Amino acid sequence: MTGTNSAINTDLGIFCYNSVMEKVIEVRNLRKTYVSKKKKEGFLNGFKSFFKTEYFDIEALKGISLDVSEGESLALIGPNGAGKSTTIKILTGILYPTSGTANVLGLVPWKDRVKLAYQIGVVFGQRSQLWYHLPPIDSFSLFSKIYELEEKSYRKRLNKLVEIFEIEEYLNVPVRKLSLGERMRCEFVLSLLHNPKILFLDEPTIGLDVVAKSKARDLIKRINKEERVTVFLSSHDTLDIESLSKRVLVLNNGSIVYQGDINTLKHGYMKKKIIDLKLKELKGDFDIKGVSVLKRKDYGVKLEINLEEVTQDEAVSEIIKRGEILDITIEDPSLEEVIKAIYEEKGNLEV
Amino acid sequence: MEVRRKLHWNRVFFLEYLKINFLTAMEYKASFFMQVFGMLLNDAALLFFWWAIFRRADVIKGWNMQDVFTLYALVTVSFGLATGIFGNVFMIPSMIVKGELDFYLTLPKSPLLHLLISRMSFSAWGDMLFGFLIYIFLVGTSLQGFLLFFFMTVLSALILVSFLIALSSITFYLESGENVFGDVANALITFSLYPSSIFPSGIKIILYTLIPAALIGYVPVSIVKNFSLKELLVLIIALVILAVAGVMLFNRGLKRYSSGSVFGPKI
Amino acid sequence: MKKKGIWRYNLRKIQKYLEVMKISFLSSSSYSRDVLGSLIFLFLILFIMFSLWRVIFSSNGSGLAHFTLSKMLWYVASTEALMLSGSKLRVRIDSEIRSGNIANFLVKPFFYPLFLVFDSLGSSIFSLIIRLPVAFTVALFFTLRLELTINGFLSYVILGFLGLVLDALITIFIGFFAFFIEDTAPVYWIYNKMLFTIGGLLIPVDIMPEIIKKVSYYLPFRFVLYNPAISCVNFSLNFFIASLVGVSISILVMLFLTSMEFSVASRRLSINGG
Repeated sequence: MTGTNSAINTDLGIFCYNSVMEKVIEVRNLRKTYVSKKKKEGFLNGFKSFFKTEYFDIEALKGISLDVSEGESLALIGPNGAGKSTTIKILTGILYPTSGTANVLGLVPWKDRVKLAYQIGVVFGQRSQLWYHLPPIDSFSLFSKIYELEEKSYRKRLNKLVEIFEIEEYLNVPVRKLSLGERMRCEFVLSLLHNPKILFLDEPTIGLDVVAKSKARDLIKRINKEERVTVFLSSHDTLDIESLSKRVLVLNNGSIVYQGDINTLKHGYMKKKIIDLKLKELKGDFDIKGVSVLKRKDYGVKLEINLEEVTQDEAVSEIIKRGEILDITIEDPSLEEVIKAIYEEKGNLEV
Repeated sequence: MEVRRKLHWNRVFFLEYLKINFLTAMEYKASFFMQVFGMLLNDAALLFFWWAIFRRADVIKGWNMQDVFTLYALVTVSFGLATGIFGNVFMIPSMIVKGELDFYLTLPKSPLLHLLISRMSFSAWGDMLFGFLIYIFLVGTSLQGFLLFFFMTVLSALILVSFLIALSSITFYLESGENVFGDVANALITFSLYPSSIFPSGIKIILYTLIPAALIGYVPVSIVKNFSLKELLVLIIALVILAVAGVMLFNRGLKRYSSGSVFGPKI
Repeated sequence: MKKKGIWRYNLRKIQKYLEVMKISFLSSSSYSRDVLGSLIFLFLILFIMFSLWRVIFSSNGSGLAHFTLSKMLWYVASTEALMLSGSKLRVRIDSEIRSGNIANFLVKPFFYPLFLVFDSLGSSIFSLIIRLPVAFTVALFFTLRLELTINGFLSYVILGFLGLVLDALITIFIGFFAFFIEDTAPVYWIYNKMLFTIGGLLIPVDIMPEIIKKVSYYLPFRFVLYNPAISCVNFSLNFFIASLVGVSISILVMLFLTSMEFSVASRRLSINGG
């Protein structure tokens, strides 16, 4: 099944999921509800809660469905609390769903957890799998035993990964002495030692500086292409997904609000740019077509460019005529803005 | 063939963790020695207590000072064995609440066994040694006696671990599970160092069941004093029940595991 | 006029320390779960001691010194209430010194060791207010006797308070070792075990062998637990006054030692630059 459609495997990656392509992940109507206790502050309330407990439900996932094809690189984005981590945790067998079905590599994650574990790799950005006090090489050795890898093939594999991720000089340095970026590269190596078919990444670039982030993204992209490892990534950083995935799922409040091509998302819903200016002196106002003032501060101003009315270049060149610029930052609108735009376009506003 | 292969990899797995935990302990030699010192202090203080008590009483419910020292040594070795091999045995509720089980659940090994051996307290081995020394020098014994003593410590340690696994599982069901575990574990440790015979019968029943301090300390020592097949059988049956219950409750509880997300800001 | 001014000046000086004590007292109330845990432990240890001593007394009809079973348990209740209210500052002092946070406190207009004493007392007093009634109630529940006299109780409160001051000073003294050594925990453990043994936590010093009694007499540890507890269950004016003198001297000595240690340490700090 794997080789049948290599003709479709273009440089842009695989983004059409017709039935001929092997589906490695299949999710239908997945729901996850947590029960939580209402917490009250204070001494008296602490005692009170001993006697009367109030529970309330948190619906983390409200029935999501998705498909992922072999070799694909898919991103799940959404604001904090959207349900991204919950989704990954269910697909990797950590959590049991409340209802719905999921199929990863032909296995039900929470039922065939061990069998699935041999075939998937996981990187949680917030949590390390490396032994903190020891050098990475010891963690690698441990994992080779856990995954029952033959010594020779493990060595070969390790050397290859060490080369790709450029961690040769850190192999024998205790993890606690490594920078976050260096540590993350070691985490990736750890997750790929056993040649997994799918790599699950939960916020892999969180906390990394710009350079380290860029490097991490390149490496993930390379692994996805060279080894045909399916990448399932979750993030709330839109730049992550832009460079890593062609297809994106936007999750908000436990539901998928958008599923499709990344470019469509960009051009469809990110039609604005935010400009942060620090000025020495203001010469005139910002009465430019397509530009509106969001906020005025003492020596700066926040502007919004509407890309439907004016191009970024035109707007910026007009803006810089307006004063002596000390600093200028151009940003995409926040993810929340994008999601709001998606809702507005769809015509339903959820509270 | 499959069984042999599985056995091989499990042995490799266990040995690898022995190595990893040893390396970790060596990374922090100062902390290691400090922990051993702390435990020695503790042991010395309690021995002092019993010595002072026995200056005023020859026998306490049929036990003399040697017997109490035996109890002391046995419980010390038992706890040492438990945390020396299954170093996380007292940490399970905390791991459940903090979502630290995630790591083990994504790997192809039994999460329970894996989480237990991923930490081994090497300072506990120092404690164990001290316990053996107390028994050999303060109590005195023959080779046969020592072997019986050792066998009882192993049995006691297994009962302790099984019970703690079962107890930890309430964390899956009760929000205050971690606190309940802490209280019961503390009570267990405290009670196991005193001969259960001094307590009224109502409490004794609890010490043989809900808080099995008697099964961990008193009864094993009683067997060392006077070998009794009946008592040995009681211990073995208790072990089987607790072990089965422990594993079952834990695996059942995993279904309810919420990976800490509920109590944290991110889901 | 001038006299009034001096009083007000001194009052303001003391006020800041009292304020620290008040804050510490109030913030202790947010740890309700920990309180419950330690109350459970208190109940258990008293129960165990009662069971143990009951067995010993029943076979040792003559009694031990001038203790009855009932007095013995009230004794343990008194020591445990104080022990559980002891200063918990060592960990915080240790980490503040290591992290360098202590610099924040050195630039403030107060005497840091004294500040710490009041801080410690705030939470200790809160602790005692909760644990004492529970300890005595449990003792009453088991012994069905009230081994408490007005004099005894008052003397216990006074000596107990002073004992907590002494405990705070010793703890702070140990905590300041963090300026000089790697880890202060082992030193603190030794102190803790001293309280446990010659401080008379579970067994009154009277019952111990002569040598131990002598050693205990010349060391300050008994003033933290043993003296207040004995005064409570076996009040005698002579003993009370002797204890007052003893604990006051100990406090002054510890205050001196701690101040010395602190000035050596802070001089070191300013030389090394933190």
